[in-house]
Amino acid sequence: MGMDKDTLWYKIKKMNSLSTLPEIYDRVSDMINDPKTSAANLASVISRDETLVAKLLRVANSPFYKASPEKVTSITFAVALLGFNATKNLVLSVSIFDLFHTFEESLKLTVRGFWKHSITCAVASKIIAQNIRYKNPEEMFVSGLLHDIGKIVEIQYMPEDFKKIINVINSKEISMKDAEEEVLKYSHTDVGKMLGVHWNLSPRIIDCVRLHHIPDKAIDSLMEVSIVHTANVLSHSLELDYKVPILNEKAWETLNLKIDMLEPMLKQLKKESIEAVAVLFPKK
Amino acid sequence: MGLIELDKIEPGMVLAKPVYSHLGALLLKEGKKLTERELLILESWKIKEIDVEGVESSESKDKAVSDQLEKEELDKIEAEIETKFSSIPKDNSLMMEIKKIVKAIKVESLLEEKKHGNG
Repeated sequence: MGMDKDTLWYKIKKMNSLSTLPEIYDRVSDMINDPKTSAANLASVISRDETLVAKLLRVANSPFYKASPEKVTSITFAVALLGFNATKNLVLSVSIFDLFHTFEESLKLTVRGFWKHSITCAVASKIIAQNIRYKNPEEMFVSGLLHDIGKIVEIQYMPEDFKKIINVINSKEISMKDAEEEVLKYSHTDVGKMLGVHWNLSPRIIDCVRLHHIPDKAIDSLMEVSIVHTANVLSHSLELDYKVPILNEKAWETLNLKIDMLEPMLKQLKKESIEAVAVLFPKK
Repeated sequence: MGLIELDKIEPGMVLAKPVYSHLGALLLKEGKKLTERELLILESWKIKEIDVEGVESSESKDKAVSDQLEKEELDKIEAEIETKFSSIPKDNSLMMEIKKIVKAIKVESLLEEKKHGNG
């Protein structure tokens, strides 16, 4: 029997590194909610963390992010250009990788594969959002990045259960979600939701994490969940290691995309996901 | 005539086809004899390859190499994609379209890799 949900919830709350998102993200979130905050205020808080500044500028100037046709050389410029919410999402996108680090040697490759898929899905979510003129493509980038976050929690906090799950997948040739239900009685989407609630993420992002395998169940966030669901299918279709999940018809209809758009989107995804992995998760 | 890469171009060669910029503006006419000046133009517009008279195409040489390996490699891509999509019903037209596109992308990127490998 794997770790039960209550124990996991207790563990998530107790872990220092997971107890809050990086301090700076919390600060930025608070500041954004304060109507008195100016772009200069926000930039000055971010500027105190030099490593963060370097990462933010690198991503803002990378071809896949395309924040501006001009070079973004300062955080003040980046904040003015991107707006508050996109800046907050970008802070999260570059900080998330540092939260998870103590891994067993035997799971290192799995972890790398996990982040590659997450980044690919983030890029795919953003590409779809832009193609359907969704209002907030940066939030969709974050939703795609976090859609499988429960898996990395499992890898880090319950590695023995995770290995059991992998064995079940391989011996029975069933999906990760079914194997998790068998070993744990719950799945990475439940774990991800727990973390999202604990981190106080937006309900839309939490819905994307919770429902990306079953978009029909989405009510308030049907559009967002449909974007991440479709992004996940497109990402898996370009990767080599997993079977492709079926694209849900309701999700596809919700996006209202023409079938002709698939080819340019997949080509763009192939190119930009490689660039995004190189920028966000470089080989050490 | 044949398509050759810029670093293999020498003064005196004659253009077999006109050269256009990436935005479509005519840079050099067909039949133009290449001097240092023309090479400078090509370089500054970042043109990667041009068509010249009387030279065996570097691309056709590459193609000969890729043809030898192609069957085996195409089979490999085919098999990989069949496995990936094995649980998808064949009458799901949307997924079959994705499958077709992914296959084309894989083939294209393999050819690209090879071109770089040989170049």
